[in-house]
Amino acid sequence: MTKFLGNTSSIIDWNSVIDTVSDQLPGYVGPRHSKEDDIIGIQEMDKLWNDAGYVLLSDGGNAGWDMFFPGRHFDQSVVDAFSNFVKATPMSCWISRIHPGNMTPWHWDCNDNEDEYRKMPNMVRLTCHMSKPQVGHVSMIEDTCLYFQEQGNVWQWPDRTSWHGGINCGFTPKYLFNFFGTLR
Amino acid sequence: MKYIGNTSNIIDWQTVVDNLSTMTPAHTGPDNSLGDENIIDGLKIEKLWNDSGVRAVSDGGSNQWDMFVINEHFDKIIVDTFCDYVNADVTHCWISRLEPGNMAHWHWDTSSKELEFQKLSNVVRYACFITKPQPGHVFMVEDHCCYNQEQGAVWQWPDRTSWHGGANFGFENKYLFNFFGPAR
Repeated sequence: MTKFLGNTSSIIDWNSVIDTVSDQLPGYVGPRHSKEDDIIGIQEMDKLWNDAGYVLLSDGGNAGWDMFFPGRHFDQSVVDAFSNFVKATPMSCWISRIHPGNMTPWHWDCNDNEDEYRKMPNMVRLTCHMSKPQVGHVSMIEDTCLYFQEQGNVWQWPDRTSWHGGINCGFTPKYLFNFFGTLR
Repeated sequence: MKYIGNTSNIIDWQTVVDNLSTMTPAHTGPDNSLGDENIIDGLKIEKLWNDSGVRAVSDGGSNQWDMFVINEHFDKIIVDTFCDYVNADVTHCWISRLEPGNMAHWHWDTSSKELEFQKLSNVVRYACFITKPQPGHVFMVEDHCCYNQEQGAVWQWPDRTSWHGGANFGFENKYLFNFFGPAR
């Protein structure tokens, strides 16, 4: 079950992070992998998306999101403060951005290092709502839908590999801080 | 948004959905009337969409929905049964369909008949979820988001002209029965 952990607004200035990221080119535009890659789960995902008629941003459609990374696009101190708040050591974290009219179709995060991650004990997956509450900004994790979330709210996912998706049916970019790692 | 109840035991929504799936919609929105300066707030909505980069499906975007209407696509008996359930007379009703990857971007339901509708008193507006619960099916009215709704669930809107939007980032078509009229 998706679980509310608390609010990080008093320890991280998320507006400042958004301002920093908003002027930069993303590290890449997701999804990064395709069915050509030898990644656990990617073949199933590709078929589901294709059968449903999704068209990627790179092919002129609306399925796509921007990816930003610590050290390169935003300060590592953000990750450190967040790690201390959730009492976990990061394995991977990033900021995702969905522009108005775009979406991340239903999926789970197929990773290059899936075999390695599966061996890790006490793994937690968390998301933090960086933007102020906005109409049309939706994240869905399994059967939980997060809408009109306070800036800084942190939610723990049922599992690192939970199915999820998000849309931006509003008028401003939707930013989400993503984190997974091991509990301290 | 106020939950009213469930209509599954008085209306066979699955048959309605199955029938619609083989039919051609009456029309596909958004139509060009939003650009008509005589439509109240039409230009405002169009500008909000354009300024935030929202594009129609025909332009590679996500903004598109199908519309099905009484008698041509579904029987009047459905509407009569619904009227009795919510204790209201129908002024206008329709079924909308969002295909995977599509959205009805944030708007309110303005039309060329708005001045006529504004003269009605005690108008109530309802949405009924006629598809079985699906991941990626979300419907937002103001600051409330409906998701994973049971087939037949009925919600009353704050106002007929509430701003709203819907999205389908799942794998099955999303159908919604829309209704407004004066309370009896």
